[in-house]
Amino acid sequence: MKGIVFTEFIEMVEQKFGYEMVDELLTETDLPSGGAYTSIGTYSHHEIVSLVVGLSQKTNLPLPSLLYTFGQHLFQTFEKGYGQFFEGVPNAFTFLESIERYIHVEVKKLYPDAELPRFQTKRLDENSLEMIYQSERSMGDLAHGLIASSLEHFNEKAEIYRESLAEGGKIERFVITRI
Amino acid sequence: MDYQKEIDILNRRLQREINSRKQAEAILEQKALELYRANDELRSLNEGLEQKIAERTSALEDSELRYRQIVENATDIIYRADADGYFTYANQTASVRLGYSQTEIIGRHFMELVHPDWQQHVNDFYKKCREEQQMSSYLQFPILTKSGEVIWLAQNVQFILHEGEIVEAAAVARDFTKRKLAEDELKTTQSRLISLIANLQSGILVEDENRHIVLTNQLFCEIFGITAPPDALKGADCSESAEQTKGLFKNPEDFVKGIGVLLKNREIKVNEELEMTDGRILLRDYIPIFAEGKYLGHLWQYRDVTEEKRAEEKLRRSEEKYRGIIENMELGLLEVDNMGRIMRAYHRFCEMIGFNESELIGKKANEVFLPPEFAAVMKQQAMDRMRGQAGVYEIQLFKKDGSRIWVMISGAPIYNQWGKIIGTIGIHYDVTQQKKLQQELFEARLRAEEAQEAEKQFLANMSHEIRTPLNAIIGMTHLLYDTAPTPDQQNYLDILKSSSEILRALINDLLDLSKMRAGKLEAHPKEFDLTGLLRTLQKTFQIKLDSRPVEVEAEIDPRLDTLLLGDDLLLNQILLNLLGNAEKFTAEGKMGIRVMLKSRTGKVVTVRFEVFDTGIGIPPNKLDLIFQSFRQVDGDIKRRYGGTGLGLSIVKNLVELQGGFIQVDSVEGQGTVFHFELDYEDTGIKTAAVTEVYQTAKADYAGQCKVLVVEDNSMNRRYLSSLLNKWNIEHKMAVNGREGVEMAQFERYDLIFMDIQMPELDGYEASIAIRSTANPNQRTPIVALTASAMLSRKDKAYQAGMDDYVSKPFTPEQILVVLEKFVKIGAAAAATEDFSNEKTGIFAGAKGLDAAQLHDLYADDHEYALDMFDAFFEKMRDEYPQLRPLFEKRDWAGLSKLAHKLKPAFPMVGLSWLEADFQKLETEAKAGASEQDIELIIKQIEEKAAAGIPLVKAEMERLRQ
Repeated sequence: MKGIVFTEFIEMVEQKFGYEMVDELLTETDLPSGGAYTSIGTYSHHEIVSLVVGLSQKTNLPLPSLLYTFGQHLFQTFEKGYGQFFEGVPNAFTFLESIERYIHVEVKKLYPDAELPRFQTKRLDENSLEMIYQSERSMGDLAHGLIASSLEHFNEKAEIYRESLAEGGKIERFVITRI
Repeated sequence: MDYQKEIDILNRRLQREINSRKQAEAILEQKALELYRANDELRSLNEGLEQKIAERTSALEDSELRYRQIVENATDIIYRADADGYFTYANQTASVRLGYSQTEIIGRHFMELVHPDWQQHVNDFYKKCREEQQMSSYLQFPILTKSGEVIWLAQNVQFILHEGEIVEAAAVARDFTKRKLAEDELKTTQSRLISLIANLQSGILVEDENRHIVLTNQLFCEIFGITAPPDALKGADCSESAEQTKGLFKNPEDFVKGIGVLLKNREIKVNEELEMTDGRILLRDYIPIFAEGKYLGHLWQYRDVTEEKRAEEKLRRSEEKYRGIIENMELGLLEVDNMGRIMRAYHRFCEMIGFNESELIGKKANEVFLPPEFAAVMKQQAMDRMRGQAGVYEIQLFKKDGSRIWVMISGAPIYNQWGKIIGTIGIHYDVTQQKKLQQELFEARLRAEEAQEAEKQFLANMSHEIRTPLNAIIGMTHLLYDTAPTPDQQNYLDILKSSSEILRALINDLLDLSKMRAGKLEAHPKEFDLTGLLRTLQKTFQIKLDSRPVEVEAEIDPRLDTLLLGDDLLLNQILLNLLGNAEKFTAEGKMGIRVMLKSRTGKVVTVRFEVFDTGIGIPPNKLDLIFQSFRQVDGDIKRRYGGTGLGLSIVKNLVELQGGFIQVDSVEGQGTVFHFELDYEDTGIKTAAVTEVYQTAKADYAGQCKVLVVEDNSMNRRYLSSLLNKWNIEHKMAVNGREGVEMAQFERYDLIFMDIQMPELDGYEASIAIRSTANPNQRTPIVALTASAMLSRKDKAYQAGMDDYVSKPFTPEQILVVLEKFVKIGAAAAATEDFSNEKTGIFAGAKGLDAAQLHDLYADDHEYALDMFDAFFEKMRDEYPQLRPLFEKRDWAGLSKLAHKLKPAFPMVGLSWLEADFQKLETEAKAGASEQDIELIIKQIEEKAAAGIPLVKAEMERLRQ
């Protein structure tokens, strides 16, 4: 998993809970990398899972909620650091459709070893977009947070319907309907 | 908060940050190194790149050039087409083969070149290839070149794919037209041969060198009773076939042996006859097959000739039968070939000719039998035979002993079974006996005809011989009456006169009869005055019956007052005879003629004649007899009334000759009426007043005319002379024709009496001489005095240029009639004289020339006449002398032309008579007359010209003065 996910997670925990929480997590969680991350490095995805689960235990906050929040946080990071992905994009649906077709293609160019989830999109009608998330990491909540933030970014209001298409959250179906 | 804890946390945080930095540094260092190496590689890569591109481009160009040369120079047609079939490339060969230039080919659809009959097939094929993704294919089909020639192509096509789609097709096509044609021809020949053999009217069996069947046909199977189809026999072993089939043949062992011999010798043997047990007859051919000296098998051919053989046999028997019949009919048969050599001589012919058949076979018939004078007949017959014509002819043949027989031959061509003429058969019938009879008959007829001719000649001569002296007797008797005889002498003269007249009548009747029998009497129609004729007859009989109490009447229909066209001489004779008859049997009362116009149809009038008398009449039972020759009512009549019994028979003939039919009504003791009707053409010309002929008999013509008498008989001369003296007519006498012609040269006469039969020069010749030579009497009327009243003689007289004739014995009246007819005597004569002078004018003195003609041409214009005379002499100088040379050259066309040119020149100078001669020369030469005839005409022309030219010169001199 790309280092940016770890560094942004640590950043978010520090913002929300203070560095003490960060220190506890990094100290108490068994992390093969030793808990020192750089955004250009690559680390085992088990470590992020261990970190998120550890945070959930320490804060007594449910895991989905944490991941949803982390999604929102990541979006903001992207919004700040990768403005080129938003240029000329008129609305949320167009942006969401561009993740699979454009953003992931660009990521692969820079990081050929990156393991990325799949986002298949389909317009159901003028105001509805179907989006199917598919990943071994089962981070549908994170995706949910990203979607919500996207809508916020474009100042669009929409209902997000979500259903699971496979055991363990590996395939999640979102239907986003603009109000 | 615990500071220590806080410090610890910060320390750990720092440591983590350091670790992170070190990690990032290591990663970056590694990435930088990677980047450096990548750059390095990129640089060196860039350096080699251009070189490589240059090398590769060069290699590619070489390779393409190589391929292009190969493609261009390939003997096959190579082309590419796009996916839709349009040519994108074609090599040089394609251009040469197809006749289109490469630019013409490119852009064209390949289907345009495919032969129209094959387009569907080719299209279907490539469509299927595409559908089945068959990337390479092979097809043969014909195409049409630009010039329309058909070329067969064998074509390999490779489809070229791009991203799964066919984008192009590359093709290599080979022209195999020659091979295709050869293959086709071979196929045709093969199928033809196979069908030929299958349909051959012979059984065929072809075996290979191991006696295995290669080929056979249906007929072979049928001949040998094989039920299997011919194709099924292919490959079968025939080595035992002879043994197996020998039972079918009459001589089975010979059959087997024969086959063995043939197979051993391997030589052609044809038309071997084989008899089969079922009666069939086969003809067999054995033909071994060799190829380049190697024996490959053989062919058997069997033909069933049973029917032909039977027909031949039947024909032979039939021929023998008919030959036998002909031989029994005494007809000799001889057969010769086309060269005339004897092929067969049958028994009866040999008997006829005296040879044995063995002596004749092979000899030329013409050399053995034919007399040379029949060679032409035989040659013609032989030619007819070769044309397939039969013919019947009679010739003589030599017998062996050299004597001749006459045979009638019926010859016909002999044909062989193919309809070709191979010779001639002659059926000879001995007609020697018939020929002999025929010859005898012919000779007898000839003798009879000669006798008849002699009899006629005798009659004609006799009539002349008798009439001439008789004429003198009658003439002298007439003269004696004028010598103041005593009553006794008068009485003797009367008897003399009547006796001689009876004799004359008899001779005339006999002559008439002989003329009629000879069919030489015919009607010569001319204008005549019927009323005049009747009045003359009336007067004649009035004079005759002067002393008897018989009145002669002539009752004539007043409507008949015109000249009629008919033969007045014949009518005169009829009426004369009938009136003579009436006169004879009428003692008192009246007799005469009644003539009525019965009817008129257009110009034709039908006239009814009745001759009546109040004589003794004819008993009814004798009415049928009276018109028969030599028959009179009875012997008593003959004794009492005389006569020959010919008169009425002649009358009947003469009436019928003119298309009439005479009948008789009679009451015994009261009288008789003969009546008949004749048709004449009415000329519509009114007749003049009736001439009183008898009055003129006592005429006096002193000084009015001059007559020449040419007569060899002194008695007749004396008779005529005394008549002419009596009428005071000046006359001269010539004793024969030559003297007559000579006298005609010196003096002009108004009339010439010309006897016909004279020594030296007869009357015809003398007349011709007078008419055709320059003399003063060229136009003088000539009247023939002839004892021969034969029609042919009369015609001859007219042809000789004579104008009329008087039959001997003649009466003074007849002479007078002629004189009146031809000489304008009396008042008219003087007028003629005046007119004559008027007509000749200045040419009256032209001696020996046609003065009238000259006067007509020139009147009294001296100058004009002299000019024309000069022109004539020019012609005589320049053209006339060519006459002889042209004749010598036999140039008839040239002669004819010259005659035509010279002809008009002679009348211009008064030699009018030569015109006719030149006309004759022109016509005869043109018609290609004989040399003698033409020479005769030229001779006459030369003689007359020689006589005439001095006269013309004399006249010229006279005119000049």
